[in-house]
Amino acid sequence: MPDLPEHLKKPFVNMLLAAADDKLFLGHRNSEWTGLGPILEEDIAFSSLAQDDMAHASALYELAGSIDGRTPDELAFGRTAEQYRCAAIVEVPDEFDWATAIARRFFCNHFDLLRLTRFSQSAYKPLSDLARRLVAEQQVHVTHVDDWVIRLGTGTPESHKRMQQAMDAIGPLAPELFEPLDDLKPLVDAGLYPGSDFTMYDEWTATVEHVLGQAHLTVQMEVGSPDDRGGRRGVHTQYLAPMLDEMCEVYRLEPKAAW
Amino acid sequence: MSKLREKVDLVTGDLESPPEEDLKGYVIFTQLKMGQPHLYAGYLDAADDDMALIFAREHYGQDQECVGIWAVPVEAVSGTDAAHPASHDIGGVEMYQVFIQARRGAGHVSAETVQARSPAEAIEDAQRIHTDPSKYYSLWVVPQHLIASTGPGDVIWRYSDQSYRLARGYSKEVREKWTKFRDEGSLNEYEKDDLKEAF
Amino acid sequence: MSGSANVGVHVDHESKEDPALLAEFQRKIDAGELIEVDDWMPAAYRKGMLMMAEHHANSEIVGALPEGEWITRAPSLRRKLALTAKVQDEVGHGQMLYRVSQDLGKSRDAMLRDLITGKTKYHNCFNYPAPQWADIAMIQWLIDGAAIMNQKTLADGAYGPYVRTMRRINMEEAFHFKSGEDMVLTLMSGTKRQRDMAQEAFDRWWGPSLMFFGPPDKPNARQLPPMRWRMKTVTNDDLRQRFVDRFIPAALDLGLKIHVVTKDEHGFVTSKKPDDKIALNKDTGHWEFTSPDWDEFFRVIRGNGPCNAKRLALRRLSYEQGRWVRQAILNGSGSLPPAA
Repeated sequence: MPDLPEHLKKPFVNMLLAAADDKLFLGHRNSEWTGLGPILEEDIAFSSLAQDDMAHASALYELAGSIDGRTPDELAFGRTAEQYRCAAIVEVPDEFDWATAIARRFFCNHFDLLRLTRFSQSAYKPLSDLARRLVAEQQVHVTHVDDWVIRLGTGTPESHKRMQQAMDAIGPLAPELFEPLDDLKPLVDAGLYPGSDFTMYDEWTATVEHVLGQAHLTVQMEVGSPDDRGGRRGVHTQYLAPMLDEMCEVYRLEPKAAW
Repeated sequence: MSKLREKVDLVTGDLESPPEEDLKGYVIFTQLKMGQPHLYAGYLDAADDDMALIFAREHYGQDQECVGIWAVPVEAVSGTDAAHPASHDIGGVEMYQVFIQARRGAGHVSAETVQARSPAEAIEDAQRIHTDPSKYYSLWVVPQHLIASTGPGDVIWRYSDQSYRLARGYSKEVREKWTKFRDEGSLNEYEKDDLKEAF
Repeated sequence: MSGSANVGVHVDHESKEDPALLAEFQRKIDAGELIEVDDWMPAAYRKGMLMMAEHHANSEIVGALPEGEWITRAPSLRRKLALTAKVQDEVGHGQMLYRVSQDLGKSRDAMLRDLITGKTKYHNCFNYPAPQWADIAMIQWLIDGAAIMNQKTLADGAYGPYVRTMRRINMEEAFHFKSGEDMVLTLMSGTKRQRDMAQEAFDRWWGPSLMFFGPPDKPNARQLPPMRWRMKTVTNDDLRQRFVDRFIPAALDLGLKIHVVTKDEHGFVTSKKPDDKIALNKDTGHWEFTSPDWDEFFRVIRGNGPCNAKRLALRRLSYEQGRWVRQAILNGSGSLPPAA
């Protein structure tokens, strides 16, 4: 394993955890649909994408753990709510509304494609190697979700209305994905996280708005997060703790045991 | 939503909504390695070609490592079997993809292409190539332009570790764990009933 | 998962068919040939196969529900991934089996509607609760183990489209069963609490897995159409015996105790005593066991099991919530902006 300078280890792990936590809870939320999707074929597909997300999280946890010594399961299941670094958009429940589920995936998938692309250019080879594989899979997710956004946005008047409502509800949470991480600058300077988040934000809004244009949908977004919240700092919505309690219900019975 | 699974309203009785139309049926073929034929994988329902490919990628494309997928509308298939009657209506010359079913009950596999003016003519052409009737059970032909295909280089099978969804991802560990409880003989007897994992 | 052993396929009226056609049909079956959708077949055979494939498909998508409840609670990343994949496979099996039935003349929509309004049935065992993580382990070991035994024999059947689907399904069952074994072995190698959880779940699922193969056969089962036409190839009782011969010694070696239990209306065990019939009969080479409570079986099949109402209500909610989505992709313009 190549050496990371000691003072960069903590921010680097923090950066990996933010990416992994987003993926874990996106996959977790989407796996709630397994067996209940609107069409059997899409039920299958959605579960497949949810597995990718959780598998990506697992691979990123493994990398983070190789630096700070924890196992992927300890990282996924063994932290307290304020130790997670996920953004609000993956925390909120979708209330079994397909439009909300799709809107959430849409913003997250495009964001993840850009983030993983940055990772694939990292000077830390274990990360760039991993991210190159994940980028290829992430492209599949983007294609899939774009297709759904356009179909539903331009489908029937009802589907258009539902999608617009979902965009109105979920859209404002989406820019919080860009909330700056602690100590990102030294990582950027060291080439461990190349590029700046500002250009990434511009790339992201351009792509997102392009697809939404094709779907005849609009979204209101403002950069920044509310003062009382910041997932990247561990200040989460009210939805994370109960989701975590559910996810860890069995794990916490015997945290040291193999399951 | 997990709460929803727990606390669902127990509605019964007739449905208020009217019956719905089914989506369109598609036959899906998967290609396991570049340059190899496309093999029958199964059916699915979709609204159109793009959706059929998107669905097929996540279902039949994840059964085993594969590099290409074809989605063919069921209605575009003509064959020597009674389930897919071939039209004799003469139209413009076009390319037809031929699929061969080697024996009764087997899945169809892609073979050559032929040029013809109708499905019936395409079948005749194919039969001129496959002259030995003992070598195949039935033939299908599909106008090539009606086959939706994934592109070269499209990601289908995932790079991430898939061992969690394959029996072989567990076999070794399971065998080791059993040895703590059972002797070799009874374990071998027990494992006789295992299914072999092969498509 | 699932399998259709306990679907009551009542096939009769063959006398109305043309005797020459019927004789040729029987000849093909006896010669081990496969019947395809476009071949001539007795009306009762078509109806029976449709009912069997539909029941099997229903069982797959309802079978996805009890395990689906545990995806969000799976205790490790690998188990979380595996359980999502396993439940996903079941939906996939349902999708493929509905296609077999669609080709026999019933639309998928009609089948889904009949299922959620209680007009058609699905496999009985999914009407039992899965209150603990260990239930997931036992379902994948015992119920999937039973399903494999059943489906292996269904893959030797005579109806081509069903047989091909069964072969494909069986590939995936290999993963389900191994992952189930791995979970059971892990629990039984674990802490006392884990072993106790496994025993309790075993007590809940032993009965339903014996019932899995359906009620005891009629004495003339082999002469009746379902077996004469190779819709099924082995009797319920023979399959059940194969199952216990494999699983009783395995369970005992693992340290599990086999109990005869009584359950309350929610499917929870209220009392249990050791099954004192459990013994290997040296003469026959087969294991003996106490038969499950067939009164309970018929009660649950009639819709009065612990979870019947909940399972159907959830499938129904999924159907109703998904309606606007299906409308949008079926009737949507796909390119034009919708009316403002």
